[in-house]
Amino acid sequence: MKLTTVDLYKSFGDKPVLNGVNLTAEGGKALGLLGRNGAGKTTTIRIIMRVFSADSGQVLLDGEPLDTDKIKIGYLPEERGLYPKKEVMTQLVYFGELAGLSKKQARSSAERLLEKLQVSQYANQKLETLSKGNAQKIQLAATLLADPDIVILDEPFSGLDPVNAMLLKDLIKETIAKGKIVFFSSHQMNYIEEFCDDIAIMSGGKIVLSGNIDDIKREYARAEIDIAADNAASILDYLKTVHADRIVRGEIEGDTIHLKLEKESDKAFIFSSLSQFAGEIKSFGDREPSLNEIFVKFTEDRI
Amino acid sequence: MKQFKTIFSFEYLGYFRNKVIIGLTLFIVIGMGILLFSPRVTHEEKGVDIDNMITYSQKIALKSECEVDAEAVANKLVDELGEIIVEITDKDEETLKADIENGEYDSAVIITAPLKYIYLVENIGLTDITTGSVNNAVTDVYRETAFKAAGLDDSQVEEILGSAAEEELHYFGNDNTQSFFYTYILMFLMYMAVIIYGQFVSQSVALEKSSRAMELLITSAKPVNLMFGKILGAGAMGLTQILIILGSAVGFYALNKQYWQDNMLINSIFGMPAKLMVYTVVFFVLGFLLYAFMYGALASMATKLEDVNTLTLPVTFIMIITFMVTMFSMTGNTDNVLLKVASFIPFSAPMAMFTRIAMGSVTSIEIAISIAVLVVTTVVIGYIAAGIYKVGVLMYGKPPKLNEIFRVIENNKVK
Repeated sequence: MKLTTVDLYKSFGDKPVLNGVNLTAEGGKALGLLGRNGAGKTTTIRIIMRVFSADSGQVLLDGEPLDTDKIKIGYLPEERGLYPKKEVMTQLVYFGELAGLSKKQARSSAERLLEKLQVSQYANQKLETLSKGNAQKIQLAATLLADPDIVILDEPFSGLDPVNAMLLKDLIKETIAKGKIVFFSSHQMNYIEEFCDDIAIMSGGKIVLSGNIDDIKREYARAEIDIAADNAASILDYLKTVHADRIVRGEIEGDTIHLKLEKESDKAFIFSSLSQFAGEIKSFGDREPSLNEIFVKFTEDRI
Repeated sequence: MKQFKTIFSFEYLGYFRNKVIIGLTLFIVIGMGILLFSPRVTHEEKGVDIDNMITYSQKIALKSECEVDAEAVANKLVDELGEIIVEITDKDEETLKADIENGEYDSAVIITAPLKYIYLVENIGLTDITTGSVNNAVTDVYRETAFKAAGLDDSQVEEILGSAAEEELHYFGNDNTQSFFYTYILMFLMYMAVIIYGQFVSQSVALEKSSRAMELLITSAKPVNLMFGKILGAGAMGLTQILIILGSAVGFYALNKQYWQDNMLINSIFGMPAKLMVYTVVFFVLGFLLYAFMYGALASMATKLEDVNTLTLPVTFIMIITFMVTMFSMTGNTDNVLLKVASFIPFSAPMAMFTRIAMGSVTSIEIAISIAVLVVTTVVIGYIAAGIYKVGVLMYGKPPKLNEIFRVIENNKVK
């Protein structure tokens, strides 16, 4: 399965929100959808779910327009929302029925998920009596209840302790392994790196960067190196005096020197002048930017 | 359709878990049961009925300071009040006062002239009828004396004094002495049900939004289904409650009918024509839908629960004004122009037209026009409400102004 959005445009009143969103998400892989607040992520997600229609553009599944009556979508909204004053099982069955399950199917699916998330004991309690972490698990159960083909997770880990996060991770990995299309939106980059093969960064209602995470990192790694050494400070001083015109920026973090170079070919010059410190150098290599850095680089000042 | 049914039954059945509604219904039903069964119980145990609401002096001192025969007055009083003691005395006023204070007498009557007397009592109760009886006794004695002086014999006097006019009522409209109470009850029931269930709708819409359950609902359900399922679910519950209350009242009355023979009020309430029950249902359903659409649409614009009351206040106001107009007309002339106009304005028609049907003179054409206007308005308002709702439930922040809403609806036509 492959979900594509083609040139989605949307404005609310006079305010344009989406300016041509082109996305591709494949089954069996998670797509990390990144963007600052207001970048247009939620609007894109809502257009995919047919909560409202785009002013122009299309949402395609395997080349055909996506029919949300046939394809089930599970959504975990960033703003968590269930009925606080209703029993857990009552509302799970209700959401299951709304998603097209029979009462019986909904109930058995809910029981299975609650079991897996270790919250079966709360089935007959009102949601408001549950802790935040447990309520979050119920929310996830509501998302996956109807065994959706497309799963959209918006900040799934916020408010979870490490043990609960682990449970959730297993469930998400299982979902991805089943070949579902998974959208994963979060500002916690470590989770994106853990689950997603591909990312799409949104800014100002557009996708400003998309592709495989490793490829992207490699692409932006070329002119940066890390040198680990015992006497990092004096080595950096030396390099800065010798290669003043090649080094854009040099920083020390612990025993590691981060160097940002003018161009990739400058690496060889740096390497050769390090020979005199051979005894002190522990490692020398390309520095991959963190996803965080890539995100900041692409979204700064664009909204 | 399946989705609508799911939402409808979720909403409808949800009310059966609402302890307040269940408690209130039970309270009303039990209260009516106690009221309507009470004469059966009191009849069997004590043999008294509501007549014991009145009180009168049990021991009266009677003194005549003129030619009036104290004995005759005393006999009349005993005839009228039954088992009381009337003691003829010649003590002076001060002594009598002291006696009353001591508790020797409950009250004292000093006849000063043939049609004048002083009534001495320490405290006079609200329901004390003693003076009325003394009036009758003194007047009767005076008349008898006068008739006899004019030469009539005892039987002639008795005939004249015992005769009274008889009325034969021929009315060709509604008997408003009878219809007032049941119209009032039904109209009040309708008013309460529309306001209460309208507010349930607005609370429930706003709660779904503020708890963000809407974020999830909107992804699997159509907004139109969500709104209509919710409103019809609440309306069905309102109707259920009205039917339970009216049904149990009629049932309790039927079981105790023989004990209520003498009570005009209760008999007039339960003597209401069956067609009024039908109109109650028709006007409740239409009125409820009309108001619930407005409540639902306005509430969909609230971000927080606190905003709901402010947003829905105008609707509640319309309802209250309608209620007042109808109420004032009921106590006066139900054929007044204001009520006539109100009965054709859809927002006030449910109550105003209902009252005219029950208490005024109205033709079936007028009823048909009023209902038709109401139905059309309800459909139009329903359509607009669905548009507002669809946009409103996803808007957070400051409640938008009306013109902004209409602009968004225009851009985002209901599908």
